[in-house]
Amino acid sequence: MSGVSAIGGISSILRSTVDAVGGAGAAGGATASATVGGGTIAPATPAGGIGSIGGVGSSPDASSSGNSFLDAIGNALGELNTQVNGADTAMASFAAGGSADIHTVMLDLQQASIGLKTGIAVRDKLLEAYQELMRIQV
Amino acid sequence: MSVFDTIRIAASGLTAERFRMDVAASNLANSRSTRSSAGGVYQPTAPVFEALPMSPDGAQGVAAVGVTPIGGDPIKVYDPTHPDADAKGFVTYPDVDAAAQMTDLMGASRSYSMNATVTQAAKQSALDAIELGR
Repeated sequence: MSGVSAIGGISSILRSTVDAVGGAGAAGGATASATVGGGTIAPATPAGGIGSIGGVGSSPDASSSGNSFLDAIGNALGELNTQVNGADTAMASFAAGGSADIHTVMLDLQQASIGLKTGIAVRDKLLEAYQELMRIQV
Repeated sequence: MSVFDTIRIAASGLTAERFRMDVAASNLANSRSTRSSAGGVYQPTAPVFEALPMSPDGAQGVAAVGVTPIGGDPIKVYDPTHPDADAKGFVTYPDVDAAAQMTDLMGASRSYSMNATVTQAAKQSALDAIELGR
């Protein structure tokens, strides 16, 4: 049970990471448009795109920005959280002598684990992209 | 079709095979039961399974919907000292085919393993898919 709670903790860390990346994206977007706006080059669309998805990480149910990438991430994280909580509940009820089958508990855990691994893979990709952006010389 | 659909379908198979094992265990355990909560001698049963749509693309899982009585007429054995003996001294025992029940148990066990293998394969595909992103 504590192991699954730890997974829940990781999931919240994951969410805050995405929030951080989203926020950094917003900051980066603002900086980029300010710098570019001062010159003769027209503001690049990717910068605007990053700015628009900036606030979404913190409020995944916000409908103002439509179906942005971070919206999808937010929803996926919500789904992941549900899965992990479901696994937690199943394991707790099994430990408490509930009537749940062993395979049900194990498959719930397995689903949560796969979901978590997917989430971590996506986070790694996001961080990679973020670090790639940070390495850009201005 | 999500990989979780595959797992859910295989999980329904696991649950169904567990139920089949329950039924076989019940039949074997009660092969000498001369009375039951329903009254009278124990009635051997077999599970009834139903295909159940579980995925948007039409793949179907399985659900155990209940049991159906099996076996022939109960066996009558002369034993006047038995508390459940009738007026003529005959005791009624359920007609449980132990060999058939053991065969069913083996089948259920193998089917359970097959469904477990399906979940393993589905899990491995998911992990392989995640590896694609690395």
